[in-house]
Amino acid sequence: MTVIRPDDVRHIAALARLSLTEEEVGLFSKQLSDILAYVEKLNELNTAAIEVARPDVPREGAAVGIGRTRPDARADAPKEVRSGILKQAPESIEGGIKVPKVFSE
Amino acid sequence: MSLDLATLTVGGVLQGLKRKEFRAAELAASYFDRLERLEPHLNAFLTVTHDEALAAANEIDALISSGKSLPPLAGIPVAVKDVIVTKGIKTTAGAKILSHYIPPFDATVVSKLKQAGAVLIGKTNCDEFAMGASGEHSAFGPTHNPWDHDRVPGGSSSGSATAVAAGECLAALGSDTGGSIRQPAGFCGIVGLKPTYGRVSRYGLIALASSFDQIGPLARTVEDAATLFTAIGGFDRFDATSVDTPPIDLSQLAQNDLKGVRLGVPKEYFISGMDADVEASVRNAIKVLEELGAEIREVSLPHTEYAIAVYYLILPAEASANLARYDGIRYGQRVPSPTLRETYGRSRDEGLGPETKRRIMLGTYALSAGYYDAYYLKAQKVRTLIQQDFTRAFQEVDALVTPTSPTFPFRLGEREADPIQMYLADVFTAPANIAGIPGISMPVAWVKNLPVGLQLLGPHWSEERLLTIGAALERALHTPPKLPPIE
Repeated sequence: MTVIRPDDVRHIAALARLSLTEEEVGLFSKQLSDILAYVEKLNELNTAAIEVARPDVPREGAAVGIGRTRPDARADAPKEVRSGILKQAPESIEGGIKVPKVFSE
Repeated sequence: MSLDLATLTVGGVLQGLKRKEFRAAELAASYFDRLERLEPHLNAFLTVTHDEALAAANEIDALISSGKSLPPLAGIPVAVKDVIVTKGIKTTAGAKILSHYIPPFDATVVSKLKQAGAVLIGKTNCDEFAMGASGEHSAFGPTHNPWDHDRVPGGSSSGSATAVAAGECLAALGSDTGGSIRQPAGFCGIVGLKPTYGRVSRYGLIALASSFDQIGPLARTVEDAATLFTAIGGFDRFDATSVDTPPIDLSQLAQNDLKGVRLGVPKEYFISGMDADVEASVRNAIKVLEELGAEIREVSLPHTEYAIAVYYLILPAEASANLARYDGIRYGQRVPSPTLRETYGRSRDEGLGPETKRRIMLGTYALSAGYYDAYYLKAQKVRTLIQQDFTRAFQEVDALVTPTSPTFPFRLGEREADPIQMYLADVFTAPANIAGIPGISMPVAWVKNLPVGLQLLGPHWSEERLLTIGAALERALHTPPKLPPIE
């Protein structure tokens, strides 16, 4: 049975870009371990012969739009949508979103 | 003008408007009046849109005065779950990180509601990012069950179900990923429909699990649910998973004779631990279906017991990817920090609730290197087995009849401590999302003033048949519609 230790929680939180408090680390260590213990019941089933049903294969009875494409052409958003988007930015400057530096010194 | 909001239907509104028995603005005002008095007890709404509603209602009234024909949802007061974006109207997904977010566009279903003449009453409360089965995971306080304020209304479409049941609106939109329309409909005593995957556009639905999510109607009658479904469904070029299917034939819903309809009762859906009154009510309704001419057969869906495990591996995996965008950068709350990494980490830590974090981490783990095969891929394989269970059953029967939930609505706080107990609330509803098939929940009994929901499940694209069976059952049961009193 898989146990998620606090160090595992810290690692997963880093991958998920979550800054957890120590209290959260402890709580999630227990809860995630319990949940994993539950979902491991799937190991009761032998699935060796199963091929995963693929979402791009048509289901019976409906025409699924595989390969439905549009022209590879530029389609600008209307001005009001553009300004609506920029209004939602936590910080913006001159028609752009102000973000923390991506590359550190 | 005497409006009985308990018995009013979409058809009744259209008739009343045409006959000039009331105006759309007056109708909206009646609902707002109830809403204002009930909301302190219910907390079903996060945003109430008086101005937008009045403007839409006035437009309908102008149409009526001019003698022009009315669109199919003319003047109908509807509410929309806050995971569905509305242009210029705050949309939060029930989450702190989006508490001030104002979308610059309408979801396709919202555009369709507007085109159909609906009057938007407001945006409804829900579990954060639609993750929950009780409404208790909203960042803005839980919604209360309208029939017992100490109990949950179900979730995640908690506000939509409560608003319709309490007469704060006539119909609502919700979203259903593992039961989030059907289960709260069952807990609130109303009708909820999860369409076949692909039948209603997800464009503008704040995504949770992209292979499970569907938007659907919550309404007071089966026919109203059908009318709303017809208005919002259809192919949408902005949703690559939406499918072109013909609209359903609403006239079929008038049938009372179910002769020739084969209904399967899956034995795995009548489990020990179920509430005895829930089981008895559902079995009684099955007898009524038999009296209407349906043939009842016991069937087996042997992989039912694995559905929750499948669901709680695939959902978190998909959610962890879908929720990566809430990082404080382009929209939502940003916690300004010295580095980019800390900006992400602290914005997400402060803006996301515990259930959301739990599921993001579970999903991140299940998809991570070394664990992908054992968890995510394994779950997808068992998903195929669950789908095959349904395919086999539908070779023998036309639809399945089950309880919507194993229990009555539980008390607020009762399942907070143990996440798995909360997850098991979806045991009868999640399989439909796993297989992509449609499902309806409808009320079939009241026990000590709490509702019991019955669920109908059918093959892909069988909404018309499910709605036909549901409408016939509804008429045969003729339970008087009711509204909770205003204290």
